[in-house]
Amino acid sequence: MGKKIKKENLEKLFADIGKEYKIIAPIKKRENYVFAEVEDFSEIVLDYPMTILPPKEFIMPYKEPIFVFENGEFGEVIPNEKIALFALHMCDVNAIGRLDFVFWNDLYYKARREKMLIVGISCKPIETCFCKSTGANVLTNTCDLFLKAEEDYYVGFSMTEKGRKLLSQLYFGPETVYVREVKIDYDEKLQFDIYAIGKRILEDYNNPVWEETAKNCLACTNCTLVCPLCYCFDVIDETFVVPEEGKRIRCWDSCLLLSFARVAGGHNFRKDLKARYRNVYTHKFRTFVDEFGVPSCVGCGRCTTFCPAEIDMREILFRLGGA
Amino acid sequence: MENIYKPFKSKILKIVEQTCDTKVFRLEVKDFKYMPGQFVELSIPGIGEAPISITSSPHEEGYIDLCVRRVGNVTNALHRMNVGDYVWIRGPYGVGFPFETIKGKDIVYVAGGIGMAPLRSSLRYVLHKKKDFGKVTLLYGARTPADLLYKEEFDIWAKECNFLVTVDSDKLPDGKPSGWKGNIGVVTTLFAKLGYSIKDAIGIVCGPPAMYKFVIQEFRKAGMPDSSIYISLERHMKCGVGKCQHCQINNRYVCIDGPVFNYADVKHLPESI
Repeated sequence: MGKKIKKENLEKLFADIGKEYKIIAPIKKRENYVFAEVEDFSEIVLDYPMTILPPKEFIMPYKEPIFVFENGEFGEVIPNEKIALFALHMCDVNAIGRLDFVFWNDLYYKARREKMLIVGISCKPIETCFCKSTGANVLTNTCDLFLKAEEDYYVGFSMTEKGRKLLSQLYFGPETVYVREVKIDYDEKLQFDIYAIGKRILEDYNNPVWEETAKNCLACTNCTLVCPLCYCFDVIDETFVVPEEGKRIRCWDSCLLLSFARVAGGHNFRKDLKARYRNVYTHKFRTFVDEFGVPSCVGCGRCTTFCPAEIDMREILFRLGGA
Repeated sequence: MENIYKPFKSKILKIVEQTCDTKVFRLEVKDFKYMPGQFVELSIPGIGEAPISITSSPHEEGYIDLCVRRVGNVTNALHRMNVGDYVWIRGPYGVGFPFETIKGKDIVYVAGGIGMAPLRSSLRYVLHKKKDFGKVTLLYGARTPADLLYKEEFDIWAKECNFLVTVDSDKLPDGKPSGWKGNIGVVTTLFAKLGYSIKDAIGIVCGPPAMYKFVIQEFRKAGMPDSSIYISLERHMKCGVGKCQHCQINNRYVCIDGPVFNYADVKHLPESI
């Protein structure tokens, strides 16, 4: 059961959150949508279809200093900011939940994540969505507060103590609303069983689909950059005039890059793009499932939308295991 | 909360030059528990971090030895350092050789090039606990006589185990003759010189990527089952703690599941060797 909030009262919720947090929410940027810091509620587009980048950059920035070298010592740079991610779709919320599995003992990730507030909101699935297939279409406690859209109001659900505090404010209710289920339900374009595909993906190693797709793939890494669950990283020391004074930087990397599996001396374990492209899938649908029980894909569809070579991940999954 | 990426400071106690591009660095450590086959992440602030396998044996206390070939930024910078300088390390990481499983058995080590580094740790440990193991053999191959590591220990190895060494070419890197009187040929040519059955032995391999499948063929020819073969794999482990994905081989991480793998467990994984 949830509590009703009128559309016009969302601004009060926003203002309340803004007292404590820096708010990141979807806004329009030219013809696309992005997550950005928002100070005025009117900037937010609540019924956005999809943002270019997922909100992962606010938990693990594209480039973040993890150490500063001071007098030859390793000084830690611990983030200390309270961020509220506002109006996230279910897929992006659940992607953060799955990232939590990986980074539970990572000081930098934890420092941001523990201070974070996440407010989810209903979405209207678009053509490229396949969250249902990945099991990311349901509510989890990664979200502190979820706003389910109804005709002319929202129903708020709290999944954490932070969420409960907000739900107890006067702009919610007083009516209690009973909703049977909160999940995103729709007909996906292609049917496939992601777990079955992952299970036999190592046997599908020589499936012609990899060769054929690699021929079109530009290795531009767009798909991994916009993926809410591509989290691999590189660590680089940045120095200025004297090498003793600088920073150790962690930045996003991509397994599609030629250098990714190269070792000292030059040997490259995934020299061919075919192997690197396949690795995106073996990791998402096998390795991650073996590690954490779910795929590292929430079916947000960004990889397909932003691929300049028009490669559709769903078509590849369909060929690997269409129902 | 502990910072899993934070290294600790360690003094360089000793440097032994092995070849023109390889040195052994002795680093000071306190209460540092590890097993042969494990590795550390070595940092030089401002240059970077690199995974390096430990070449000393756990029975030596107060220090660890790293046998380092200069091939990248970090290793080149390390080679420019002197005794008394400081580096930073974290670890040990990964799982080493399974001594509980291989206790009491014969062991055949096959090392190629810098692959000698982790195997030397294991060999040293086994020779230290000699009565816990059966017959120990070391087959070691390098490119030229000038590339042979640990030459100062050859006499000890020859005495304490069945030691055979070979070089791909007896010419020095500049093409001049070296005066080498020993075996010439790739490391697999040493199998013919073994003179005893290794069917029930444990095979342990570390070397350049191209070497594994040929050595494994020899083990199989000798009747050794795949489950008796252990391979130590090389990858660029950037984080060492199973997160950055650089060392991932399908559903295995070299940094936490390896670097030592049982061959029967990984042979079905493409890209493993």
